[in-house]
Amino acid sequence: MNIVSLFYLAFVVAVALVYFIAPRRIRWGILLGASLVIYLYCGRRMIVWLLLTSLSIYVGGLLIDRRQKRYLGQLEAGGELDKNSKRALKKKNERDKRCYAALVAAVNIAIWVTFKFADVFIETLNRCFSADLSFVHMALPLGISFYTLQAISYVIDLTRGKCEVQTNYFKLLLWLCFFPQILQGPICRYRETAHQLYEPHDFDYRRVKFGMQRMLWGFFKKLVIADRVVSVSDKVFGYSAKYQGVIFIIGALAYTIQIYADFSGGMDIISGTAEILGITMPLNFERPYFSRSIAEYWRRWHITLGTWFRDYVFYPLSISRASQVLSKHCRKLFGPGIGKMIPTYLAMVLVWLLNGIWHGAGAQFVVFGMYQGILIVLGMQLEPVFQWIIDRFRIRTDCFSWRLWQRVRTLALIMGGRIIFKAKGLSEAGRIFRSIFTTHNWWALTDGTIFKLGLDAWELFVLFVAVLVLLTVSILQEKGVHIRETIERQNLLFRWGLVIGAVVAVVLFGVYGINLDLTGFVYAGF
Amino acid sequence: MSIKIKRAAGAIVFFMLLFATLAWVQEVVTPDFDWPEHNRRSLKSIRSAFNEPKGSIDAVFFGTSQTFCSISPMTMYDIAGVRAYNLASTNQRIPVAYHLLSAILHDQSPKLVVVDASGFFYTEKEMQSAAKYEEMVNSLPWSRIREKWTLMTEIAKLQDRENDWKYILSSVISLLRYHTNYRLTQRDNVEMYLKDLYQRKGYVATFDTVPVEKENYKIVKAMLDPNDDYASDDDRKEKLTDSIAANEPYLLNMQQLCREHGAQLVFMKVPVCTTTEHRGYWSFNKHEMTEALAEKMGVKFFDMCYEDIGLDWFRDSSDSGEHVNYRGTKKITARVLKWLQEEFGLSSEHNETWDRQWSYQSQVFAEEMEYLNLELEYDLVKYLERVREGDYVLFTIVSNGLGKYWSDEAQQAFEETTGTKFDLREKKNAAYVSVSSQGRIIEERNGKNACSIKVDLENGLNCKLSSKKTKSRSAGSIVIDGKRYDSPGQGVHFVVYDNKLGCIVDSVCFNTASKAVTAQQNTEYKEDMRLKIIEYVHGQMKGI
Amino acid sequence: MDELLSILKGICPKVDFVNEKKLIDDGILDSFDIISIVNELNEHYDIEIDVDDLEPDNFNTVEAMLELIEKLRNE
Repeated sequence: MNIVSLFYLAFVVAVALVYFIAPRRIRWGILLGASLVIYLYCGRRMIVWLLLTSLSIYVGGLLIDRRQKRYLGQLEAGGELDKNSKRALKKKNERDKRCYAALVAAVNIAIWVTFKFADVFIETLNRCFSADLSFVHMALPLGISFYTLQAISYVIDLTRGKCEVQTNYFKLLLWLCFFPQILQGPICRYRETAHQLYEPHDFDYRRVKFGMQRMLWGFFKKLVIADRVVSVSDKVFGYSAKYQGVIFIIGALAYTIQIYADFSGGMDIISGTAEILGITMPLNFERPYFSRSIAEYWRRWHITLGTWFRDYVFYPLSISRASQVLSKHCRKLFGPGIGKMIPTYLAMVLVWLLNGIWHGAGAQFVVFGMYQGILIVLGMQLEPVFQWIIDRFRIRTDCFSWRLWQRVRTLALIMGGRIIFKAKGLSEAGRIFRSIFTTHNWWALTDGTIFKLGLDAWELFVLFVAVLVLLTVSILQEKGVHIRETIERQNLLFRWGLVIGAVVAVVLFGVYGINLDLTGFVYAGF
Repeated sequence: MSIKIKRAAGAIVFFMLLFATLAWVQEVVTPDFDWPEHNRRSLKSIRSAFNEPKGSIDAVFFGTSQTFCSISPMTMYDIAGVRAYNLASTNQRIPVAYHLLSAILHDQSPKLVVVDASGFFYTEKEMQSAAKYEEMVNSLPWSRIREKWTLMTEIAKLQDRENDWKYILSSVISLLRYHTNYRLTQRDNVEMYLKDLYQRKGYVATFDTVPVEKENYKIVKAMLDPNDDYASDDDRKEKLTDSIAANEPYLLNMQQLCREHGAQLVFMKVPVCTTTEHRGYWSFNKHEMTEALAEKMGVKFFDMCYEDIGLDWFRDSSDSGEHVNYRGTKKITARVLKWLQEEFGLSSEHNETWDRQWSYQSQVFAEEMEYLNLELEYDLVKYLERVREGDYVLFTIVSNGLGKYWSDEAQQAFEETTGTKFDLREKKNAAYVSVSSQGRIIEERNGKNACSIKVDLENGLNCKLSSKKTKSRSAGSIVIDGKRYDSPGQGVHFVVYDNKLGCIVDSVCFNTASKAVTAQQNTEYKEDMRLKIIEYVHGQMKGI
Repeated sequence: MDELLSILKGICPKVDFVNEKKLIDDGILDSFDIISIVNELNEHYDIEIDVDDLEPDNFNTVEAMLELIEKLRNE
């Protein structure tokens, strides 16, 4: 289902109306109903998998909770136990709980892996054993990459005592498949959104207004910017044999803009929808292109995915017992400085490997992940070197130009990653990089080639203005300005004029229509 | 409580304002006025039919582009006070005409519904082509939403897309379909939208003269001849029979509609002179089949391809025979009117309000046609005479030599018009440029092989004229204010600037190297010119 | 306290541990810093800071960290 469609708008309006009119007790049920309707409409029979996952975490949750209660009961019953037995009981409890969690997680990951990597697996089999199995081309259940992670986070959080068990299956199902987030995330934590979903919310003029404004902003980003600039990135990367050098930089820039506008625009629509219904979604983007280092970038881009990997892969790995043991050995082998960091780096590499794989089943995605990881590691290791350079040459770092340099540098590295991601394959990506560095065709910027990359002069102009608007808003937000509240404080003419103008701009300049090719969301196929 | 009500009221007002704005934007971007060059039907002029006072229309016309070029209702009004409307559109299919008729009959009660047979021979498959229908849907005003929706769903059904509600919705809400027109919009559509163009009553005027080629003329004559082999050889006969049979049910429906509203259905065929190269050709077979259908339905049929109405296919056609220019329109319109009056007693009620509007519009129409008329003149001597008569500045260059056919009369006319002292037939004047106005030379130069001048006129124009006697495309140029206005070709080039209007009104090249001394026009400047004319005319008319 | 401070300073010399009250919430310490700190504390105090303990509340201030250390020691 396309989020930027009249259908979705109409749906949201309908759901909101029913929700606010319904008796408070059953409001969460309305949300569940709406979510299931959407899922059936878009995912059809694939809903089976969603139900399976939700059932698995429901049952798993109950088991974990029961085990925990048994442990607490043991403590109480045991009375004055000594420290060691207490520790033993605690350890056993932890271990059992973790077993349940691991089982649930494994089942769900297996399902996810099967769907995502079936064809890759078959291809590998074919190649290794010269077999000739045909591909299955399995369609992924809607939102599986998102809800699987979300489901796993529930059981693990439960294990860690970070959240309460949910005894009502349907409530748990709602949390898992809440319709705005099922399509492209964000990946929510149970303690963040669950209670919001279950509590009835009333119609609040201000909140609904803000939600709608946010949705409008998302529509603008997606329809006017993302769907427009996609022509350029698709052309450059799709017909890459025709192009060289600086054109690839243009293409990478286009794709960088596209993927941000697309994804964050979608997030705005999703968050706006949730906001109308009274639920605050976690932030997923925080102006990532203003980052001054790759590490910072990943704290601002697809935030919920990053924190998921951090909390459920990185932290457990890097402060585990095994890691500490490894650390000791490494320190002996490589010296204290770097030795200490090696297990952390390894954990990180794994995280990035998984991150890459999560995005796609293919070597280039693995490389994409590794690329990010290596850059971060390099960044950290080379920090003293950079510092030395700064000190030696007395470069000023507390000034705008330095920060600008950091941002430009980071953006260039990010664009490099985008090339890996978008190119048709690894060899293709390699060719593109080679071309960028060896072909110097700067004249292509001025001889009119840029008007033949899928957008003509007029469209480029519209795009330019729209990106300028986006940039301005982002800069304001970076400086801490709350856009919607600022607008609220202005006078009527300005407010209404701005919103009406924005709607007209989206309707007029949006890339849609019977004759046009609507591209689905970039992240929707995950 | 009161703040809730205030907010609710505020929200309602806001949304009303929002939809009003979107509706306005929709009006602006929906294709508005057409230029013949764009070959798109003026949706607005069909839409304007719905703005005519209720019950004021005496006759309506349906048909294809041939029809909307041939029948000028305002001319009918000038002759006989009859108020008609031309609802023809490009490649109009009969089913579309049917819906349009049904929509217009809601508010009008014409006595005659004239359908041009040009559209009777679309095949079943062609009738399913969406594009024309969609234009029609847009041309229906919002007051006729029922017809809009019906038409659209029928079209969808024809294409097996009845469940494609997205398709239907976006066709009805034209904003969704045409929003990308912000690119084209700019001046044209916005200006046209704001200006009154109802005075043309659905007629699309062209002023080009492109004669029919002699061989084609002969072929067409043969096609129309019942005794010629063409009639029996025509292997399209079967296809034609099928086509007209496919159209029959819709025509019957139209007849039924007419009966219900007290109108009479009538068929006609406007003159056309093309070979089978163009699908709009006419032949004896088509004539016969249409006659048969007309008889079957008890409907009168007037085929002007078989009438002598004084049409000169070498002067009256704008594109070698398929469409006529304004000169041809006048003749055809007069003839059709005569037939309608004689056969059916077509006349008009007197009504002060209606007549006041129509006579005002008639004056505007006359003025417009007046200004646009210069383009029609294709005879060299007559052309020079006309230039002499107006308040013009004439730019002349000779490009690649004059050739053999610069006659004595032409030289004399040229001398009188420009006041030149050079005889262009002399070899030493093989290259020639001049700027003249009102019979006096402002500046001129001659040369054996090449010459040029640069002039800054009193009215503010900066012009550069050059002339060369070489066999190349750049054998001369007329550049005014940085823009090039001459037409391609060998011979003498004229560019005419109208001082009153303040714009170029014609650019033509007379090929004096060919015996026929054909005229070739440069049409690039035309849009600018037309806008200016309309602005000027309306400015003049404001006081009336 | 001073012991703790010197350990922390050793890992992140640029951070003002004494005065900052939102080390995690304001992003002053990033995930690597935390890992390094946790590993270091685990080793130094012979405790087992677990993933479960990685709550912002436990690391936002030096005082909170001290509390955590004490709690784990006593278990």
